[in-house]
Amino acid sequence: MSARVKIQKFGSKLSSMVIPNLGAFIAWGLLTAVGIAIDNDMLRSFITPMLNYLLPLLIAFAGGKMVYDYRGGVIGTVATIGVIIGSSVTMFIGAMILGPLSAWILKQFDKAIDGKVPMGFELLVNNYSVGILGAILSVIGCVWLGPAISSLTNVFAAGVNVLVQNNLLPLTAILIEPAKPLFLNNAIGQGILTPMGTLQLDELGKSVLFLLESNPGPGLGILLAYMFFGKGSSKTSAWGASVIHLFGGIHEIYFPFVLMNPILILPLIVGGACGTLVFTMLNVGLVGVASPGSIISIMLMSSPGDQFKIILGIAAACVVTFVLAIPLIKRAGGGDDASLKEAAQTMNELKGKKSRISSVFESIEEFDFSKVTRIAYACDAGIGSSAMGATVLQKKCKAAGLDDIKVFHIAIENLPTECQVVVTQELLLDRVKDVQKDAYCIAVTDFINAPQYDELIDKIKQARGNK
Amino acid sequence: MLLETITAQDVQIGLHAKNWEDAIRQAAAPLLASGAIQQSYIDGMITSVHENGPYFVLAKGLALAHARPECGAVRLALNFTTFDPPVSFGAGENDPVRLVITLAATDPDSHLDLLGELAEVLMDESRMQQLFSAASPEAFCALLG
Repeated sequence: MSARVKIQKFGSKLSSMVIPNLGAFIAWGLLTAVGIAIDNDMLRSFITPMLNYLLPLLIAFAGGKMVYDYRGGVIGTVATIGVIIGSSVTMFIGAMILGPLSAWILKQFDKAIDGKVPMGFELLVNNYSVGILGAILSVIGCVWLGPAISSLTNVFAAGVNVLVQNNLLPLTAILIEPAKPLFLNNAIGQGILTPMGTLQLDELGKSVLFLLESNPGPGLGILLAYMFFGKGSSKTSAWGASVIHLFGGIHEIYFPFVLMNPILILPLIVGGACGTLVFTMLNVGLVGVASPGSIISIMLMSSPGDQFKIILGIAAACVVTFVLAIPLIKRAGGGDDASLKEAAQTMNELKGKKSRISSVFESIEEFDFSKVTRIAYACDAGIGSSAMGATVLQKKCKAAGLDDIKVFHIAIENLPTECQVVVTQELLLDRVKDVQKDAYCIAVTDFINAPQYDELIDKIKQARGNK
Repeated sequence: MLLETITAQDVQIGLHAKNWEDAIRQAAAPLLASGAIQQSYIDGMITSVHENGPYFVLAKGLALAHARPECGAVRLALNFTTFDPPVSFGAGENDPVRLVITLAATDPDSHLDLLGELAEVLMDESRMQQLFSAASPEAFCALLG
């Protein structure tokens, strides 16, 4: 695998944690923006819990589910609560690490014990493995990972401090811009820039330091680039997000767009540096903290006569970020699109063959049987016929030496599930195909002595033998 | 619950049924009487066949009648009923049905070991034929064990 493909795969993993949750980010952004704007206590009370718990946990769930289905989602979420509790900053990195990682650990555990659990105890073992592993991982997250990530903020803050002391303001963007999407910006803003800015205020009557972190320009540039060159849901959500970002001053709304394509940090840094450079060259400043970082509050806080110059600086940051982000977004978008098209094409091929040829087993050339490890046996209730059929097929697999194949029963309404082959009663085939489009479907009439069982096992053995 | 716990009381031999609905009702009657299922469970089985077709006719001559746990299964229970003459379930090549196994399960997993044992018996074609034509509940149980 080339480095490029690896990076793209990594990127698409990040986006599959973030994109399904964009709606929640927007809901949070709206509640926060409106709550602050109209100063409503009820709405304001949403801000912190949603930001600290809901959003990271959603990301953790998506990350876990991506690795190991619903069980992975559950354990990822449980583990992530630990890192949230153990830390003082919003735990997006924690969620993005622990969500998939704990799901992966659970998957390895399940693999290790597969086949060793006595019949009838599966449910018990399943629940306790998630429970116990989840509890352990959340404590680990709380004790080590959370504080480790929190301490990053101190590193960033110290760096900014040094740069400000030495009058290297534009370079602060190198630290501020990456810190923002990681939610490490508060320590910088409130811990360093605000106190130092307040000192300057006494001396000069205004301070440029208040603009460094609250400048909405770089974030707006990213959102604009997504609006014009993004794909799918990221493109459509970018419109609403940019309004919340620019006027509501809720910068967090653009963070997911960066998290799903981290290379965008680079245009953000350059854009932020350009903006700050313009601010310092034009010698502008604010007379107080602009919070939230909305264009409106910035204008209100501008030192008299500086408004236009400040807009110039914001615009510079925005345009620079926008232009630099375009190729990066196009590249990521193009990659995703191509793989989607490819997936759609394979699916069409499979479908086309299946519908043309009545016998399910003649489309075999199209399906890679060597990869089969999970076979779902589906029926309406998921307790009787499918359980019986699954038991028989599992016995046959074992007898054929296919020890690593797991046959499990399931109610159709619980499909789709993680599996490569679905076996079902002939009468239920259409319902199965409707919901589990990616799997190879086999219809049987005789659950106990179906000739299809042996055919399937032969095909799998053959396909594996050829590899 | 394992197969060896099945006694002659859980077996009915050579019943007559007017049609498949009647067969399901008769096969499930002992479970209803013993309180293992509620009336709604029987209705659930019949509705399920109307909606999905006779998909629980598992093999030639064999039906595993059951509904979802939430239809009114009170506890895990099993009943075996043979019909003479055999009953048509509209199940194509698996028709006519000679043995109806009625299963009441309260969750998707607790009865798996039982079904595993059952599968062992039913995969043996000649044993299945013997079950179909068993003359008495006692003979039927002997074949299971």
